[in-house]
Amino acid sequence: MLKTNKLKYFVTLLISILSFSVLSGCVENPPISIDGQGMLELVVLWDSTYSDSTKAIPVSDAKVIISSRYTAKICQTDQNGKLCLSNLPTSIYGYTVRKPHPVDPNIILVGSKQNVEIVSGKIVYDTIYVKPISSTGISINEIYCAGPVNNFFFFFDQFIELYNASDSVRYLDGMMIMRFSSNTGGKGPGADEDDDGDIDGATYVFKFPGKPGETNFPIYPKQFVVLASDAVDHRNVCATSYDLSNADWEFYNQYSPEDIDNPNIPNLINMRSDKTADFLIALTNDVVILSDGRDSIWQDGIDISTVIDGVEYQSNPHPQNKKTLDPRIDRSYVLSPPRYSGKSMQRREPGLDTNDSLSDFEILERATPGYHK
Amino acid sequence: MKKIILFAIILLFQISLAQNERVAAIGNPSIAFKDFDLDLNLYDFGNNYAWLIEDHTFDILYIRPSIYFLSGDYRRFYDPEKSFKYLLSFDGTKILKDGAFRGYVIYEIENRVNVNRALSRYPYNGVPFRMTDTTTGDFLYNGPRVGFQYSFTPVRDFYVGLDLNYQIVDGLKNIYSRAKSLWRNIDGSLNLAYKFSDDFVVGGKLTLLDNKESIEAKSEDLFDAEIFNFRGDTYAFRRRSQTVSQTYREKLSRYDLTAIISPFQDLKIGLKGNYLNSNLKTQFPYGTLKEYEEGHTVFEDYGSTVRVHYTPIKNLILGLEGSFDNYSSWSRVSETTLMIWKWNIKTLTIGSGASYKLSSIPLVMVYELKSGTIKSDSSKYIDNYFSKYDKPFYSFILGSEYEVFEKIFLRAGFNYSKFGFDVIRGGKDVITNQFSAGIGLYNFKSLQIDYYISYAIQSNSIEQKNYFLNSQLNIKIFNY
Repeated sequence: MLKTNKLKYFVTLLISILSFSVLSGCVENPPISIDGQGMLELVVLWDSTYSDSTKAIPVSDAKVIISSRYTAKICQTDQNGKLCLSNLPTSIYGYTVRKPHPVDPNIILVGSKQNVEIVSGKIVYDTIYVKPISSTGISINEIYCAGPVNNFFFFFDQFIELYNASDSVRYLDGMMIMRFSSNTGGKGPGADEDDDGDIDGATYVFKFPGKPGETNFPIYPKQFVVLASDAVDHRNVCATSYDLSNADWEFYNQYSPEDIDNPNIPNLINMRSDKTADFLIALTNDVVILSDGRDSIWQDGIDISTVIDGVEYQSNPHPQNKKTLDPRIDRSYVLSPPRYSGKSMQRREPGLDTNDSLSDFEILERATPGYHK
Repeated sequence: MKKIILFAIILLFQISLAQNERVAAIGNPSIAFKDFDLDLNLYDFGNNYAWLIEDHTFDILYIRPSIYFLSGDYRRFYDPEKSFKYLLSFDGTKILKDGAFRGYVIYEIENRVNVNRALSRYPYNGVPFRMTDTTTGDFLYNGPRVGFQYSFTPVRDFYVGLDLNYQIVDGLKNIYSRAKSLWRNIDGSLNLAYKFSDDFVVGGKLTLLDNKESIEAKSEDLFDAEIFNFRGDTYAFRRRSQTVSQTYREKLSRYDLTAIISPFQDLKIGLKGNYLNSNLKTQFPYGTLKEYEEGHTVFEDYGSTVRVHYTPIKNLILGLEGSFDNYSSWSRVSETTLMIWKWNIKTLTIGSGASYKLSSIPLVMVYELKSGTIKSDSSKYIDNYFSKYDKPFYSFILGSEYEVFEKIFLRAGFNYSKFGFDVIRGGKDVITNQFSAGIGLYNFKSLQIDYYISYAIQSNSIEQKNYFLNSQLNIKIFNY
């Protein structure tokens, strides 16, 4: 009898454990859908009046840069202007097509599309129409903000390089260079906060001397202009830095008692008396704007119509970092180099601005102030 | 973590640290060899700690220093070039008035030389969510493991066992991205056993495990730490900041049932079955307090083993063993709930063995032969890579123990194995030759010393080779 009771005791416990195991052991069912089965069929066409045909011409052997959060991949269209990609993981993609013009080397055929969702198991058919783009004006050609390799937080050798890609002389008189890093509570720096056609969040506003329309400070065709935070040979302080003593312009804050001023280099001056620091931009994420200076009232935002060029750079790909600059100025952002790496961001082709910084810019191991590599 | 889940598979391919120096010295036989740790009972065969009180009948303290070394070019992308492991363990069992208590503490130091990119401790644990940087550097892991087992009988013939283990391992990469790894493991089990008679014993066990590995890459220079989060083998996205961290969190439950039957006096049969499921979440911080779930991996394993011991004549043990194990897993990206990996491994093993103690000379000889198949089916959807293998394997053990002088033993063993496909490292026709030797000094009062050393060469079909060296000393102190 005692033995039977003990057996019952044991069996009850065992059943309890097994029941618990059955209840807690209900394994989650695997998902039905699988990743890595997305497909993209892209046709690249050029609606050209260059040929007499009324039909669009397929763009063969064009370089297609496919980017997503995973990677940027460079492919080529076939003879029929088609590109077929399979086994793509689900993500938001962007693609940019580039091909040199068959006759005029100064023209590049460019087409792009962003925010295309490719879902595993589905085929996305898309057509990109390329347009001839020639570098027609002044643009921001290179941004060096990361700082040189060092271990004492040295990053004062920053510079911004402008380039006149047109065939005519342009003038810098009254133009403004701005850093947008405030307005973080709203849509973000560089966004059109109230949808009133201007961008908000200017923190540093420096300008070239003169007024818009004046012709005192020319920038000649195909000329690079280096705007240095401090136009000195920074290698004297940090050996891995750059010599900017021959920069074309120097940011100088006249409200700062300690800003370095190289007397041989003309100055861009500060328009905000409440800012007493030099023009310095963030090492890995910021927005830099070049405007023609017609709208100099930065307090209520800078009219988008006056913006000549703008570049946003961020350290991580979408969606880890949010893009904030208005898409009318730039549709994407540059993936910046690491801080204190000595690397810089430069346009792939001098001055060529398709308002798609992700594909317009590349990372250089060493900065190239005043020239293009 | 997966060390436990894939334990059985890894055993097939890895030269692991020995639990018993005597057995390891003669080639690690397990089917038919008479040893204190190889009895066909609930404790040794079924790992059921309720039976501790029956298996351990005297007080004993083991002090074990050991060294383990691995090098070679038969390795995977994220593997280290070399690995050194040093352990020191104190393991004591005390017989109490109403039960038995076993407690241990192990301190482990592991130096992995030239780990390629991987920042997690076990990059090949079946999980596609890997955290990597771009450098090759040394990883130093060290930390203690402590645990206890307690067994008692609340009523006659009914046994209860409890087991709790805690391990914390601190890892540091000596080069950018200066990744720090904090690996923490807690597991415990409730064990029950009932002795229906001396010839029939049944035991059940429930094990729960909670494992967490937190990795933090933080450049001590002014550079950012740049980390790549892989989803599968091909696709990764970049995370860059001054500090980049990630967490792997696993919860596991496992159920074991074991029965020992002795239908005749000279025949003993052990049966055991197990079922395990676990889920592992890969997370990283999002905002200040939130954790973003990057991926989710589910493991489900089950298996069963039958082992038979037959003693037809005195000093002769014949053994048979058959086992089947099934390991399966799938992983999904939490954001899209799309499956990216799915794999399944099935192993079927049949083995036989015999050991004989000669009466004319003080010599014990043992042989063991195992054969089976491994079926693996892997679908790496996101990588567009699919593989299926169904390959045989076999292993052969030959070993002997000779008493050169009274209570002084010399041991030697040879272990050969050939696997058509290595599910762990991916090689084909993997051959392992392991040579082992040892000595046992039992001529002290209340003290025994065992030592063993083993050397193994592993090669695959393209002549890549791995070399293993393992050495362990055991000082046993009785009635301490």
